[in-house]
Formats: sequence, C-alpha cells, structure tokens
Amino acid sequence: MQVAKRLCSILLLPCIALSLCSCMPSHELKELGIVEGVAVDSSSDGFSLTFQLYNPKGGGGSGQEQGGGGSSEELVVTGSGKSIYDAIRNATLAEGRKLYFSNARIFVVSEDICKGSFSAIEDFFERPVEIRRDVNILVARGRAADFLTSKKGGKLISAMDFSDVIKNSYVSSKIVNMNIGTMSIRSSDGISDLTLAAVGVSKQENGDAELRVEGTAVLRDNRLAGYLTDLETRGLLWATGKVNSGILVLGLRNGGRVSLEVVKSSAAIRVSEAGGKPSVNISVKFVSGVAENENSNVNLTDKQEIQELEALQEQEVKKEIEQMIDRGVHGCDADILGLGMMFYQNKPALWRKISPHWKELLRTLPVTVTVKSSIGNLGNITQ
Amino acid sequence: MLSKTAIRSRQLLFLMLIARVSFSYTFIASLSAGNCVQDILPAIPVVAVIDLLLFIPILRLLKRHPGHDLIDCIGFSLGKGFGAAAVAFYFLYFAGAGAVLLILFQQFYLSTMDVQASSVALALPLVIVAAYGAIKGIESITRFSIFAIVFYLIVVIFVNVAMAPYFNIGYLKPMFYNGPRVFLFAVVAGVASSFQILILAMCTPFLKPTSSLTKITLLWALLSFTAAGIMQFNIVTVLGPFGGRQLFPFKTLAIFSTIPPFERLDAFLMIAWVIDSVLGLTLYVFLASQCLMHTKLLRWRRSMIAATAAVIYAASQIFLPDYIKNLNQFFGVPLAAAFSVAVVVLPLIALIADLVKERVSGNHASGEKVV
Repeated sequence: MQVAKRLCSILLLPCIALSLCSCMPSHELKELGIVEGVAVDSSSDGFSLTFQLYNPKGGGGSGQEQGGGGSSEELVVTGSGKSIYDAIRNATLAEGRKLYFSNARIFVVSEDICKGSFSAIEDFFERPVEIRRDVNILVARGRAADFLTSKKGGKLISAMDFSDVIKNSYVSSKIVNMNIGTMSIRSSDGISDLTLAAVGVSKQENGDAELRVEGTAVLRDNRLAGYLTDLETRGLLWATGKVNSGILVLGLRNGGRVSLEVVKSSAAIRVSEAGGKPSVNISVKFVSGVAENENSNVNLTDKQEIQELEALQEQEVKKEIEQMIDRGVHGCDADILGLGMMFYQNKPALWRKISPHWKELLRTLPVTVTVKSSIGNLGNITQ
Repeated sequence: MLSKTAIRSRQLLFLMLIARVSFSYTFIASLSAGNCVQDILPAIPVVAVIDLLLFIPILRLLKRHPGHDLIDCIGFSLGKGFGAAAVAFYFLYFAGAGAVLLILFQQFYLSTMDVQASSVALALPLVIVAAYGAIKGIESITRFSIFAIVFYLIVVIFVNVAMAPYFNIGYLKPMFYNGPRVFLFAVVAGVASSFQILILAMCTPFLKPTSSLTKITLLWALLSFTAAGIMQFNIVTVLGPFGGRQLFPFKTLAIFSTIPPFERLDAFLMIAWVIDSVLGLTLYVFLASQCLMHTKLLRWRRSMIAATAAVIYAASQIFLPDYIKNLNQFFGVPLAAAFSVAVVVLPLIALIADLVKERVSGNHASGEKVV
C-alpha cells in the first residue's frame, strides 16, 4: 500500500507540474495575427515584409488584401522598416494585431536579399524564441511578396498548403528541405555554405498562379552564387544520403524506357590527402525497384539484363552527382557538401594549410564519385 | 551543531546531484567555445578527478568531528574567532550561490520566455516559496529533490531518445585544434561550479550516523559527471559549433527534440528548470540561514530565514544587469576564487590546525606520562 501510494504520488506530481506551466505570458487569440508565411524583400529603406495571416473571421480590415469572396482564410499584411524586426512592428500599423510567428510554416526570401547579404536576416531566424525551428526557408526567384500574394481561383494560395510541398519533398527527392534549425546548425561552423529550395510563380492559361519549386539556390558566403536544376538538386541529395524515394527514368538502346523507383540510399563522403593536396571521394549505394517498363522488351527475370539496368541507373546517378559538383562546387565555389568541415574534422593539419584559400581551392578540388546499386523488386509482373 | 533531524545518505546524494546539474551544465557550452565546443567533453572527467582531490581536506575534517558541520569543525580547529568569520564567509557564499541561481533563472526566463516580464515580480514569488521551503527544513527539501531528480531524468531521457538519430560523431573531432583554451576554461568553470560538496559539509549533522561521507562524495562525482557527460555529448554531437554559440544549449537541444505527440520538448525542460531553481534556491536559503544558526540567533530561526531570503532577493536585483554584461568573466576567476577559499583553503587550514593541535596535545599527553 505504501509503495502504491508513493508510485501514485510520483505519477501525479508531474501532472501538477504540467498544470503549473502558468498562462504567463498569455496571448489572447483574437489579439494575435497568426502568421503562416513571411516574404522578405528589399526596399529603399531596408526591408519590406509581406505576411500571410490566418484569418479566423474570414474578413480583412482596411489596408489588408483579403483572399477573396470572404471565404478565404488568409489575408495579407505588409510592413517595411530598416531591419526585419522594425518591419514586423511597422506591419502592426496596418494590422493592429500583434504578429504571432509560432504557427509560421515558410519564410520566403527574395533573390535581391540573397544577392546582397543573406546573413542580414540569418540572425533574425536564430535569435527570437517565438519562431519554430522547423520553419522552411525558401528563396524566391524574383520578388518574394509575389509568392504569398498569388491567387488561384480568386483565392490566395495558402502558405500552409505550400509548406506541404516541402514536407513531402522526399517523394520526388528533388527538393532541398532546409528549415531554420538545420540551417542554423549548418551555417554556424563558418565553413559550410547553404543550399535552399528555390521557388517561383508561374501564370497558367486561365490566369491562375502556380507556385512551384524550381531547383535549389546556392549561397556562397551567404550570398546567392547560382542555382541547381532539379536533377542537380537530386545529385546533392544523393551525395548527402537523403534520397529515399523518387523516380529514375532510364532510356534504353532499343528506344524503350524503364522507370525505377528508389527505395533507399546511403552515402559516404571521404576526404583524403595526396601529396599535401586535398581530394574527396563520394560513394553512394542505393536500392531501387521497377516502377514502369515502357516498350523496352527487357526480360526482368534475366540476371544479365537486370545487371545492365543496374549499371545504367548507376551511370544516371553518377551523372546527377557530377553535374551537381560541376555547377555547385566547382562552378559556384560553394562548399555545399560541407567538405571543409570534413577536412577540419578528419585532416586538421591539412585544413590548417588550406583553410585560408578554401573557397578558391573548391574550383579545382578533385572529387571522385562511385555508385553501387541493386534492383530490389520487380513489381507484380516479370516483363 | 548537532541535530535531531535525520536524512538518508541517498536523499542527500540526490540533493547534491540536482544542485550540480542545475547549476552550470545547462549553459556552460555557451562560453564562446564556437567550433571547439568538443573540447569541453574531455574536461568533464578531469573536473571529476580534480574535484575528488580537492575534497580530501574537507572530508578528512568532517570525519575528525563526526556529527558536526563544516563551520563547527573550523571553530573547533581554529578557535571561536575564526568560527565567527567562517559563519560570515559561508553565509555570504551560500547567499551568493542563491543570488546567482536566482539571476540565472531570471535571465533564462527573460531571454527565452517573456522578454517583457518584470524581473522584480518574477523573482519575488520564487524567493517566498524558497523561504517557506527553508522553514520546512532539510527533510522536506530532500524529499522534494527526489521528485526533481525523477523529473529531470525524464526530460534528459526524452531529449536523448529524440535526438539519437541526429548524432553526428564527426563533431567530436578535432580536439584542441585551437589549443587548450576552451578545455582549460571548461575545467576551471567546472571545478568552480562543484561547490555542492559544501551541501554535504553543512548537512552532516542531519545525516543518519551510519552514512559514509566518502561514499556519498564518490557516488555524487560519478553520477553528476555522467549526467554532465551525456548532456554535453548530446549538445556537441547534435548541435556542433551551433551549440557553442547558444546561451542555453540544452534548451536549444530540447527545442529540436520531437517525440510524438510533443512537437517540442523545451516546455518540459522549462518545468524541470523551474523545479530545479526552486529547489536550489530553497537549499541555499536554508544553508545560508543554517550558518546564522551557529550564532546566538538560533531562537529567531524563521526570521533569520526570511532575512536571508530578502538578502538573496536584493542581491539578485542589484547584480542582474552586471551579470548579463559579464557572463563569461563570471565563470572564470570570481567563481574559482570563491570556490577555492570555501572548499579548499579554509577546510585545509582548519585540517592542518586540527592535526597540529592533535600532535601538540599528543606530545603533552606523552610528556606528562614521562614526567
């Protein structure tokens, strides 16, 4: 009985503690402008911010652009200022409610800002306590505000909905999923460079806007250095072991096509030193399954034909990785794979020598890529 | 000072343990370690060994006067004058520890929860609760420490489990790339933060007579440094250099942690922090007032506790702005100097005096026999 009492006490005490979290500082829901997405553009006096807010009333006040028809649940508010926080506080001049960022899902940063200095807003992402670490950071090709003010069927396209595109990026493995948390960890070493998903707005024939991910923005020393295409983005994900899905379409000599779905992958990057010079080896292993066999006449029960397919998919993946290296590492001189950090960790003596001119060295850094794969399943049919 | 109250050695161990882990490990990585944050890890076992060596005089002194606390021992060894000075010194030391804890709590709250909160209003209820706890006595405090340690363990286990998939062992390398500065600083800060041996030294009269002081100290060193090692390992392998830039790296780690249905575990950490702060503050109010009990103020015990709490509250309000400005400096020389005097120098002088006194009285005794 005594033991049971003690056990009950121990179980109850955390409950009491949880209820003592208190309601201070308290925020009345009706007094908060719940931010779902933020777009950051440059302006003549510093920064211009566009906020997409959740609107529980279904209506917007003066100075606010509403989704349309009163049925939309988003509205747009803007503010500008000398700094990001200044712009946020200035937005309340039009909105009235205090902007609340705990529910924000995406931050879209304009190309202009990234070309100038991304670090100006990096601090803003890291310092405040209200913003969650899992908010995605995107780079807009053009004005960031366009991204949050685009309409489809007369309604604002919800930032919340678009965040699902990033959340489900593993399906295509063509999107870099970088949130504030991973970005902060990555950039804090002062060596690695950032890659962020690039997004754009396109107009459809009926006038509706379409938001889509358009490759990856490469930032060198926190400045936009270039973009990777979809396939180069996948090359980046291959090299970092983040591809666990996606389709490889292989063109065969007979004109047919076989589509293979990636089941899982792993990657290892090894840095080495030869004659006082750095070199890098990237090895990737993956397993795929046949998803589609289009006029190829491939006999999937024939071991030799399977091996040929495996060799083909290895070539394809190797090509994607090499293209990524050519453009992102050699072309942009950007350490998007975190290679410098690896030299620092594994070859500190060499790093001491090469670190002063590391970014210049990236241009000619020899990188070898080895890919091994296997086809793990054929689906329900043998041809 | 002899007491009728009895606490178990296990209870005292938990009290010392929670006081240690809540004092500095939650933020020590932030001391400008940057890309060399991994250099803090080897400092942890070194601190444990140094601590155990430094605790030898205090333990030997306490063993020579069973059932008496450190201030009694100093009084017996060095005379009433030194005893009175020891009362004043240890009162200030514990009051200072309480004030630092209160300042840390206020800073944590103001930095991470509500920047607009009033530090005056924030600290006041905490001090009142601590004073009430101190009036209740050491038995209540030690019982509360068991709850605090259980909750703390739950939080640490949750955060560890949630972060396990994100461990990056690469962050453990290279060691001492920029020399031993970070390592040495972590050693100094770690040793200087290990003053919890004084809790043992002041609570000896309350311990059951069968308790072994050496055993408690060894277990405390082992457990607290294991806990610190696990916490620091997580910070280094998950956050890497980012952890070396954080004011509260373990909280940052908790923010990153997700265990369904909890999206962030920092709320749990904050609860643990509040509980530990209440417990720590109560303990230091109790210990500081306990110093005053060695004087003729014994009959005004409650008033003394209230006065001690008021002193701690006032000190925290006065020094809060200075502390924030001098965060890094604080964990260097000032803390180390206070620790050296309180834990090493005074007990060592008392021990030497005790040994000399014993030898002299032994010689006298043997001389008398000869005569």
